[in-house]
Amino acid sequence: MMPESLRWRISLLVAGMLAIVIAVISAVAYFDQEESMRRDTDRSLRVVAGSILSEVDEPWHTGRLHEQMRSILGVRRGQWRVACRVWLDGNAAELLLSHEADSSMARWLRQVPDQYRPANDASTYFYADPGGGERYRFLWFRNVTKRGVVNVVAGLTCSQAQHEMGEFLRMLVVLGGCTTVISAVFVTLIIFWASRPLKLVALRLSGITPANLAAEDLSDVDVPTELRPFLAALRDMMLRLDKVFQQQRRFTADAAHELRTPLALAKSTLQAARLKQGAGRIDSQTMEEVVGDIDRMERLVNQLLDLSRLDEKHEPPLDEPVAVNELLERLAAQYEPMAVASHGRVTLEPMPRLQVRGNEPQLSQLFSNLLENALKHGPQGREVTIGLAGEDGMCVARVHDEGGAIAPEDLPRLFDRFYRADRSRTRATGGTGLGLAIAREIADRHGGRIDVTSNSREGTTFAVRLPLLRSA
Amino acid sequence: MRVLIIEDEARLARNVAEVLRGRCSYAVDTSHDGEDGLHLALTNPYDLVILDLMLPKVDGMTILKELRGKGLRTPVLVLTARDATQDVIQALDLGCDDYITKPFEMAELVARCRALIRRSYDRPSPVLRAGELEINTATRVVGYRGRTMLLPAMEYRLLEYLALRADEVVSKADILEHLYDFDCERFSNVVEVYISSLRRRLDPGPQHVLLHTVRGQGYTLRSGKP
Repeated sequence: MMPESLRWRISLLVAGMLAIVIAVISAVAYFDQEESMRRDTDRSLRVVAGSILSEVDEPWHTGRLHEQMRSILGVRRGQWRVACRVWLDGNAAELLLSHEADSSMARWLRQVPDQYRPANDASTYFYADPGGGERYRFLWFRNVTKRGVVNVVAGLTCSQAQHEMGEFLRMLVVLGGCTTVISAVFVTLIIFWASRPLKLVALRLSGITPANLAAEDLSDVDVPTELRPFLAALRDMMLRLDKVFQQQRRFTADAAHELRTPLALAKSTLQAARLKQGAGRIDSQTMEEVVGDIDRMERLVNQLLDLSRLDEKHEPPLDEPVAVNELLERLAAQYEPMAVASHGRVTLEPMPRLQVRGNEPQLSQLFSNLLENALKHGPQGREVTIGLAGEDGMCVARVHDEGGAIAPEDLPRLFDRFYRADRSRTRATGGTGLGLAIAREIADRHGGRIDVTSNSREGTTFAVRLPLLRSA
Repeated sequence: MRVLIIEDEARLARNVAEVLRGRCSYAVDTSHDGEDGLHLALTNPYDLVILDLMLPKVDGMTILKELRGKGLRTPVLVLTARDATQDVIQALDLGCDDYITKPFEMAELVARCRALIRRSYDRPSPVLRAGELEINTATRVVGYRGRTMLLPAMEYRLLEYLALRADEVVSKADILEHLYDFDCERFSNVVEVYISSLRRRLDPGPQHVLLHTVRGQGYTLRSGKP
């Protein structure tokens, strides 16, 4: 029922409130006026009763009383202005009657309902319609005099008052209505004018594209102070979005760039071979080298896909218990040949049986990447050590190699995509620079984290912390 | 001619070196990191340096700055995967003479190398002419007095170098420096051997018209222009 527009809602509410307030004030004024008019009437009736009583006290002849009252009370259009009847208790004949004996008023005056009878020396006021459709205000006054108990019933027509009240009401309605309408219109105009800044902001926002996300500075839009926090938050969000876009762009550029090197290798190898050996014959060594390049590209592409899948979180994590110690044992056996090939070895420290909750293929990849990194990063002929322990409710797996110090300023950047601390070595061994980045993503997704410490004395240790499921 | 390749991707360097040796008869040295490469470039007289930008220890841009800062006039061809216009401009402004991105056509790389070397000897034409001698550096066909022939690699290399420096006196040391890479054994009389071999093929007569020995100083190829 309420319109959807905030401005219209506010306008309607304010207009409604104005209308209510004006109505209430008008009602109060009206009833006040009515009360006041009634008091006037009642006062007039008291005066009439008072003058009648003072005349009655005088020992006038009845006819004389009649004349006297007639002149006091006045006549309008042949009728007494005040309808009255005066009689003594116990005496049916009245002392005074304002109207013709056969008129409806006279009849009524003679039969005033007893419910209105006051006590001695008291008076009651009441409304009644003595026939003829007109409403009257009556006063019944009983007074104990030396002649007996005098009853005075006097009444004044309300038609004049009613007419005046009607006029008053009309005036109130018209005045109130106009005021409400005009105020409502003004309020609406003001509200619409005040909400202009929102439109301005909306206009500016519609011009924002991914290209100018960071450049668009909303601070020059003229908005009231209440809207400034909103604009500031909006700007913050835009900056954050821009940062994300930039990261994406950089990542894509880096990825494409990384692919160029193996491409150049493969191409140059084949072209050199062709120039040397002729198009007909490519020797097997050349083939091997090119296949190796293609493998490298394939690895890179796979890792990029892994990363993008982790980024998008499309794959629901398999939420199953994974026995970390078994996983590490399997991987150690898998990588043994690679270690042996460079005259080193992989050593497993004794491990407790620990379980975490997660996705086994992903965790396998996490530790694979760490192992590969250790084997490539560590010096030839040394050992890579894998350890596992439960600490403070976390499963902590450590991969240690004796490779020398990574500079402290490089440590946090190790997990950045495509980052290589020592460029030439990882290039030569075919590293893509993504292994650690993927490992960190996987650790994050499992609610854990990876830390690295490195110094020339103790070598380099990667510690993976994952929430423990339970130790079986 | 002698070329230095500074490229950390070993196999790529090897491929390019093979082609330059095979196709152009250049002597080629390779280096796999910036520090070593810079040192080599500064201490040996190369006719061309092929430089990768992303190198360990010292990066390519720094090497460029150093080389030009020390007044080295050798042409430099930048070979890199970075292709952003900013990078190209920066490299060119720092003093490189040409820029080629990976992956690249091997034949194109070779042609650019030849062009840069030609230009550095102020011989814009790919066909070197000195008197009646005509050397097509693209095809390595040598023509002299109406006869055309193909020469063995080392002899061609020597002849091309002398032709590029036609009418200059070229010392034996220069010849040795420009004809051999590091891995070759150098015997100082090998130059005489090649000179006489060339003379036998081209300039046999009792008087040597083309190749002259300048006693105590070296050799010179006379174009016959006054």
